[in-house]
Amino acid sequence: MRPLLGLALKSLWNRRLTVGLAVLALTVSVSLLLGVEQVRKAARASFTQTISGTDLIVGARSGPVQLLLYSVFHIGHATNQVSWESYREIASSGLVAWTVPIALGDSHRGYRVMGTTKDLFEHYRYARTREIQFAQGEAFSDVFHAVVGAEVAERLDYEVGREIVVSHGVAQTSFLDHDDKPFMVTGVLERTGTPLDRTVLVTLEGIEAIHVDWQQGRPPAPGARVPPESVRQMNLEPASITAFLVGLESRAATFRLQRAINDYSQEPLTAVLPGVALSELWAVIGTVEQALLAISACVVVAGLIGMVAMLLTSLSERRREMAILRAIGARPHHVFLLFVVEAAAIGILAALGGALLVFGGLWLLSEPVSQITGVNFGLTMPGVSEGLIVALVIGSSTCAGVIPAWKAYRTALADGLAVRL
Amino acid sequence: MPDSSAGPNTAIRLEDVRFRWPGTAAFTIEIDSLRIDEGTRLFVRGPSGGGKSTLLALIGGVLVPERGSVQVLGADIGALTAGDRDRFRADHIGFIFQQFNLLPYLGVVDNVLLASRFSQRRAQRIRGDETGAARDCLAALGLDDETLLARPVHALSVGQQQRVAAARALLGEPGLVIADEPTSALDHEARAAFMELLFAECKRTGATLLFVSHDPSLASGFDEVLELAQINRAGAIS
Repeated sequence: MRPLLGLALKSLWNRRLTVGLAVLALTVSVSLLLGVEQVRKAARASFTQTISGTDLIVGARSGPVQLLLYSVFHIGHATNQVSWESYREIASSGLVAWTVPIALGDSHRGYRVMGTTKDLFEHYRYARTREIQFAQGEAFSDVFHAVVGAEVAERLDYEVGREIVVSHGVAQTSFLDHDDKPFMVTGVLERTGTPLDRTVLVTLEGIEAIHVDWQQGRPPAPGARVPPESVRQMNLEPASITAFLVGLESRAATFRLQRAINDYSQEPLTAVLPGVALSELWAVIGTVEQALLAISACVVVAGLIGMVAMLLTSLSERRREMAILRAIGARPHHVFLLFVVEAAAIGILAALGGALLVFGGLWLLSEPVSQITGVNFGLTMPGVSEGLIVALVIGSSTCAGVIPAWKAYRTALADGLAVRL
Repeated sequence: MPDSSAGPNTAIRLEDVRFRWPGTAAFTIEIDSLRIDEGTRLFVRGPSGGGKSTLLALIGGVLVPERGSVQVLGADIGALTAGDRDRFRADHIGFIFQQFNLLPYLGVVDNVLLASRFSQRRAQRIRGDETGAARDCLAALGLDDETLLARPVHALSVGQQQRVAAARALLGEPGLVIADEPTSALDHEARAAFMELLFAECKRTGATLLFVSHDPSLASGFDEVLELAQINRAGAIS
């Protein structure tokens, strides 16, 4: 077989323009497929690592995905609140190491405002172990302090020291501003690739303070307004929060506490494991990725068809070559193998070229892309699925080579030593 | 080993051979008896379309007769399997065609070396440096200019290409050299030079030469001259 390999490679090199175009078409399709697979994995990793290090997310009774959507992704609304008493009772359980309360419902110029405590900066983790870092300034130390996410700061051009006004409700254009009690930005977060980038973080007391003079969702009458100075003297413990994150002393207690919260008799609550809920949510979104992958696979098939067409077209001009090979004693199956080896070589070149393009490109671009989008492409190394794609491309191009090879085999048998045209 | 019925000195022997292409009613080859001794330089003259190529394909083991026996260098071609016929051809027969004998993507020396690539027998007969043997073959046919050998084959003249083809046919000293109109694309001088070199090399290696052409002017210098029409009754009818 060794002479055939040499012949096949030299023959390919001799037709390097047409072969090169077929290889290029296949390379582009392979890199598309590998690229989609990489993006899929990176997006999945980035998505499922939006929140880590948290053992349970607790909110009013609802589905796990819904709770995850409104508490972590700030999509949709909570149907109900968690009472402060229930929160305190669960937080003071011996199993619980820390909690981070979350109060949602207000916005600032289209970005969600989230009331929380300084514990968020200490305990929130994303991408497995990454902590929240401050690009500028520091966490809040006063009721009317705010910390803004990276995207908020960038889009609205905010810096530390800037005064901002929180609007009531989450509509894009709210007419009800809490303009009597502005917040001051004390910190800007580094980009995380999580919904925190698009969030304005304020103190839990701040959320309570701007609503303290409101009556059942209506703004206070002009005479009933409470100025910020006197608000500070009031009890700013909220009556309820939207949800809270729980970190446990021991992970082993996760299911025990989850069951206890789900069976909590004072109030209907739901506790979910973030990882489980994220996977459930991904299963819904993931179909898009599957569709992308399927489309890319179709592009590879198109590339293979192009290669087969190229090899079939070359057949007529290579009948002379086959007659020569037959005359020197090559068997018809040698001719068959010659074409299969050529197809396999094209597949190998394209697969390697595509892999080089994608992984070389990622290696070069992952750092800038990560800084711009917060999606970490560099983290996903080529794995089993990429190996499988490369092997499948090589395998299917070899199989596709059987079509021209069979035609060549028939031609070689029929032509013998003389080329009858 | 030579078959006893073929006789030790018989290179080619055809008995009662009939062949027709599939789908045709008339025979293309109808030869009752043909016998060529080893070492003979045989010229077979026949018109185009007279069954010359078919006869060569039968002797080369690419085709098998419908009836009768074809024996080449003691082997009964019809009794061999397709694979054994291909191997036999690789081991014992060198072919030279009218033109385009060379693979365009191989160099001059590599084209000659093709002969030993598919035949261990021919590689063994060289015993040792195959590239050296290929260069010797080329040199014997007047191709020893290094710059010439380094050229792509399509940059050679037709006469040079045919000599490369002859070198390949002779590499590893096969017992039979079959030449099918090898000089028809050459001009007069090149033709004479080619014939001279071909004769000399066949004589040196002891190969039987089966040379077919439509051109009777080439017949001088051959040991035997046959009219295809005389031996092939099918050809005579058409």
